[in-house]
Amino acid sequence: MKKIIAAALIGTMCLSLAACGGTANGGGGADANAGGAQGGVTLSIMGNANDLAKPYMTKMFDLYEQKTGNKLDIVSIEASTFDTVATSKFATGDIPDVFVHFNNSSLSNYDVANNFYYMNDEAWVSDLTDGAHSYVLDAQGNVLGLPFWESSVSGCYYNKTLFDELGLKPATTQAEFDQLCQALTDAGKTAICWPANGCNWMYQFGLDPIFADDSALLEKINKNEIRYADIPAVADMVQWTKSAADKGWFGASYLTDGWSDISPILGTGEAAMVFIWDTWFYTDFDEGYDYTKDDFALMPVFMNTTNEGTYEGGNLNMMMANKNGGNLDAALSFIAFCATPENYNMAFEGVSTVSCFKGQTTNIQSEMVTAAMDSINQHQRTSTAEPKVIGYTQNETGSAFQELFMGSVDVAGCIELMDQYRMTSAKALGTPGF
Amino acid sequence: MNKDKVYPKYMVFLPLILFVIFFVIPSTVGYLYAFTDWSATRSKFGDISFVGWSNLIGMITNRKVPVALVNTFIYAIVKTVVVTVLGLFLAYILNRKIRSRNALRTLYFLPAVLSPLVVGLIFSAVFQNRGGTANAILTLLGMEPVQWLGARWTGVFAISFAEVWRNVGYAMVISLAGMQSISSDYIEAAHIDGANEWQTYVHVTLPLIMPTVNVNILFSLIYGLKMFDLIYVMTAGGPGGSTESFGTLMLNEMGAGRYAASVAVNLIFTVILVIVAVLYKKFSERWERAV
Repeated sequence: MKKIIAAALIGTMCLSLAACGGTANGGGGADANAGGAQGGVTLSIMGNANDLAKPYMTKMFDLYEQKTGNKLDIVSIEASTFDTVATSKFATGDIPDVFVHFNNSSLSNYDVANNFYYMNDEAWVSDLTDGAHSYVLDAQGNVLGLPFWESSVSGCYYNKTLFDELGLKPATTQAEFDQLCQALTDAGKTAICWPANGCNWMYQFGLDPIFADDSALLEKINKNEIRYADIPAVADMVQWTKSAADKGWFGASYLTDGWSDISPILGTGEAAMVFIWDTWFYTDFDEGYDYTKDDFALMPVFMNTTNEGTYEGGNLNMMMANKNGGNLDAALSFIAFCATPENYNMAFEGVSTVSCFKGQTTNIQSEMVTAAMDSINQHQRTSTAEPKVIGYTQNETGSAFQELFMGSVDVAGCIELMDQYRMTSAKALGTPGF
Repeated sequence: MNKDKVYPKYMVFLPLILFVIFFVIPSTVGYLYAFTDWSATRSKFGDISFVGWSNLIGMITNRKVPVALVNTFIYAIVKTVVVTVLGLFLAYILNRKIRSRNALRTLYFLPAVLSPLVVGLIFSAVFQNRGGTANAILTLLGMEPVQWLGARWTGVFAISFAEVWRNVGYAMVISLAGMQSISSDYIEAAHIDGANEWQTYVHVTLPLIMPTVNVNILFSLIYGLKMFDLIYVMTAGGPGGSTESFGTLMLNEMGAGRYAASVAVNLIFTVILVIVAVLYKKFSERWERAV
């Protein structure tokens, strides 16, 4: 009897272990026959939780489910750990049918060539604006995905009402900006709201002028012929950042403040400026504080690498299709659905952003951008550091800046760490020369 | 000898085969990846090649590893010492005839049933800079607020505090079970011989519950060394990697697409765990004999 029980237990264990095996599509792949009452397809979509919760995204998801009867399984990953968790999922074969990601250097950690379908021949490609089209290309000129995002201008958004109250004017040079920051600090305000928790340190604002204005420099760093440490302007930027932190321009709690703290910090008037993009004020900024989006205006970002400041051109999230999953056709249909003028115009209706599509007519341009258009035309640079410097990492280099602020490393040590993280990533990506 | 109670030797083969197939082989093969260039862009088996010791050397010289090593031991030692001592103390108190002891036992055990994620979120709120309870108390006492999760040692303290809070009830229950299994004859005999409370506790109760205490220490040590979830929720290893443990370091390397480096960290960690486990075994055997 005992032997029979033992055999039964072993059999049960074997069955349990067998049940642990994944599906052929990988864990994230959806079952094409599951879910949907009419269409019968359930598509998995993975992305950053904040990104997938944008109003135009959720509108489009709802519209797709209503019109097709298919289902969408939204896999939202918490923003601060998005790339860490998502790459781990990819490493274990848990790849969704549709993946939403920016075309930046982190994207290379997802083995783009082997995992995603090139969309060069999709009908909607011809409907993309030139800017959006160039953004979604890889180095070989392949279209990686559908740009479905806010193509906004990033810059320094300042509280003009607060500026008026304090008798301050927006800066036009680095020196004026530094004086402005000090004046705000002296008035008991945090000059720049810059939450460092989660390592989202947006140092691309400082690097863009360096690499966008000198393409030879970009080429050299990507061939490992020079390092950040060899570029004096990088040291200028890091030194300025450290000095700004020490002078209290970022406030007292920037190391523990996260992205979600920006609303109360700006809304209560605790801080006067933030480096961000205009659509954020329409989609993420909580109303109900003393100051609202109407109180804000736009000026260039200053990080001591260009005297007149800079604006960063639009960064776009793309929808990419898993070419190895069982739902490739359905994923491409979903993407084509999102790229239909009728549908994207419904999703972006009233959203303040620059158009990604030639047929996009229902979005609006924010007053902040309209008022600063002359300055934008003069000082805007295409986003260069983040998508084009091989091995560029926001999180790991953000960690280097955190060490700088905590005093664990000095300016030279921070640049050394920035180089180390960049080169380690480039090496792991198999970049020649590293 | 009752031969009916001895299983035939062949009964060991199937479990052994399963153990080898599902644990020994995957673990060994897994660790082999530490010696390859496995990464986000080299994830196909045919693309991966051996690179010798370079990943291990790279990780040993990585400045984050010593930080993670020190932090991991701090988390483990603080947890082991504080949880064991507090667990014994609470068990001693709640083993006495006090009115509310059942309610208090339940109350102290309650955190042990909460998920680490929930505990992490609770203590993130307690120690957060904006509106956090800890800083509210400090302000009430006329003291300056502290950026608890914004610096290394305060961050390590906050995480350790949360971990102790979560586990002390569990240690208490185990110690309490040990104490309740002691025959009252021993205690009464000690009292008749003139021993006071402290002497009875140290010379009678403690030696008799030593196996239970050892279980507490072993569990706390092992789980302390493997701490991950609370750190991940409260600081994700930051700021600047200053609260990193081996667990978070592994995930962060994996997240950066450096899979082989992540396995190399795991391999180093496993070696350390084995050394600690062997040392503890030798130490605990001697300790039990001495007591």
